[in-house]
Amino acid sequence: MRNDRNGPLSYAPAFAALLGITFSLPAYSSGLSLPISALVSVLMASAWIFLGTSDPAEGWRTEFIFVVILTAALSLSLNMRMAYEPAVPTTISSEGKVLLNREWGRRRALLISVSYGKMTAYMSGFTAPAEGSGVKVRAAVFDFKRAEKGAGFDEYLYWKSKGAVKKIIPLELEVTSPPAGIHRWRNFLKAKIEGSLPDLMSGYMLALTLGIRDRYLTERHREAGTVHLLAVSGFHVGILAAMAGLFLKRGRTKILAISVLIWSYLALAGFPPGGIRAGIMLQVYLLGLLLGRPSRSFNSVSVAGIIMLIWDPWTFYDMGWRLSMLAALSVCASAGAAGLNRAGALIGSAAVWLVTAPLIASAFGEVPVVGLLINIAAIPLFSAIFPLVFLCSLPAFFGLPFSSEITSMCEYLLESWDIISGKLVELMPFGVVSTVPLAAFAAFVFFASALYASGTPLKKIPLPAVMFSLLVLLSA
Amino acid sequence: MYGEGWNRRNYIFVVLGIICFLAAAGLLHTFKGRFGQDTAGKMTVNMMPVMEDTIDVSSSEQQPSSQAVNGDAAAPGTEKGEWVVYITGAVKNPGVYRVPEGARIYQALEAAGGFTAEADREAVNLAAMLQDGAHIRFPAVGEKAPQQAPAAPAQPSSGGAATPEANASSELININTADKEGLEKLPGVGPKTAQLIIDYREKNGAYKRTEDLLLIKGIGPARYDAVKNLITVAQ
Repeated sequence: MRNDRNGPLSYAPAFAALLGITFSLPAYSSGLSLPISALVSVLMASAWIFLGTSDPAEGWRTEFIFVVILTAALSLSLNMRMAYEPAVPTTISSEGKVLLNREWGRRRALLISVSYGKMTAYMSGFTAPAEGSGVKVRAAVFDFKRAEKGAGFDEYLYWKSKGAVKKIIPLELEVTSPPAGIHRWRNFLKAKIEGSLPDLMSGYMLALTLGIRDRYLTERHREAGTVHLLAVSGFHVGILAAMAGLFLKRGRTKILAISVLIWSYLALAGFPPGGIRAGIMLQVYLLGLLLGRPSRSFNSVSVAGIIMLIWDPWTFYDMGWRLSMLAALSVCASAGAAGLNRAGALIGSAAVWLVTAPLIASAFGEVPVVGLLINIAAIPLFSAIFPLVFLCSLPAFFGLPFSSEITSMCEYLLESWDIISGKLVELMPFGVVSTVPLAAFAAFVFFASALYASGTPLKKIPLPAVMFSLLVLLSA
Repeated sequence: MYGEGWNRRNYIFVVLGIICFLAAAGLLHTFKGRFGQDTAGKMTVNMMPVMEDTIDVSSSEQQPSSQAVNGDAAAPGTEKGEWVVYITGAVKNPGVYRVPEGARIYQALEAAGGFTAEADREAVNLAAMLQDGAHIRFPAVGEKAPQQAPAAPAQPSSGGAATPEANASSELININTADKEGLEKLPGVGPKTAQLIIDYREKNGAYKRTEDLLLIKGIGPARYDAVKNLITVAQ
């Protein structure tokens, strides 16, 4: 690892490739040909490298060629995979498995894996089979609805990003086997949590362990701008890894044990995008430790993002993936700039709020300003509250003595936070909507911090930061 | 620009960076028409999932002559006695063509300039009857034939003697043309549901297959099963 700030090739080559790909994917889907989209990705990655590089290290040409070839190859392959539409009959009859059963307004949305791929079905709560159930289904197949540009929810992109191929309306659906494997565990834990814990504890435990969001808690956190705390992400993975690190001895076994623990946790939580991103990032970091070459966190996040796109290119349109990537990149970049201290935490919290605000505002209407303030206290506070909630839940699960006293105490603590954050929301009931100045400022802050994290000398940062921000604004 | 201490290579890097950036921006702008158009992952037509109203031309048994629709139903803008069809796939000149009413598929193929070299010449039954407004796709060798919507029940050809099958199908209720009273004859369909069926086709265009009725609020699998053999979507 070099100390001199000589540019992206030394600091974060993966981000240059990721940047190129993120321009190429929407370019192809908006009508550009495959080679032109690949060319755009290569030019963008090259522009980022050239504009950010100063006094390049020896051997930079080889690294540059590698990054360019990798970017072009990824752009071509990802776009080709996204363009492929599997042929599905207009009616299907197949056996399959329910992979997901989630709340969808007054109904339930199911993701069913059948022989033609994953299919989405909306059903009433009474008839919807549980997650993990084996099913035999005969159904009519339909296309997802598309949204007009910038006009609300796009069913097609939403379900494609979850791996679905088409939408079905079941004509006959028969449950052939009960939930099995990890789904059985999820259902068991869900019932156990709901049955043995009071409301707030139950809501937090469901979010923390299974990635299931309670409606009341989600609304309260949305008002406070802290809804990200309920989505399994780097925050939760980090807490778990830190807790495991405390109890394990140093060495290869520790690295292996943490890896197994994290991926088991993510499987239990239903592999949410933010969690996977954090898991891969942690794995890259642990691998670096194992090899004696610790990687830069900003580059590790970029590598994690690329791996997720290789796994499923449609992840690019997952709102969770986008927010998670933006937040993680911003935190890593600001931590690099301000250092791992109190100032760094404050700047990191503000940077995450700012760079994700335009995206959240465009999806949900507005972003509460109070979130900027509350997050400063909430993030360190919840890094203590979450382990506490988990530990306080255990006596109730196992029916130990004093379990009701322990859970009551924990519930009281959570109620206190609920009241305090509610009061803060009342004091600052303002929200920002998606506007061009906000988006411009957020884009500039993101690119400037990304350039800094990519090892660009300070005096070279403003020009590319302005150029890339402008391009994003013009393309959005 | 960047003060002293900068060597020539650094300036070259800045210039190269700007050139790459402008070239990428130029490509995005030139090939896309204009910035911001149709973004946010919106797919182009060739990438959109489609369930076309494509008639089955792969088997002669599935295309009896009685499947040709009445010439009176010709699309607006066409002359009486003329059908409009859309020809795509492995033909020399894909596009929309006018063919004589009652034409067969080989006539549409001739209008489109004939097969290309890579066409699978046996995949399509050239003797099958055409249908006004149909989309005929000729696959290339090794290409999978497109998934077909269930063939629409037939209506008798104009001026032609109706077969027994055609007589039976003519009693079906066409959900694309039936009025409210007609739709109310279906079991389980009251005035409200009938109006919803009409509203849907007015908003989204003609029903392409009978299963589309499942998209109507109030028509679930059980009600659909009760009416599916009594309805048609023939245009």
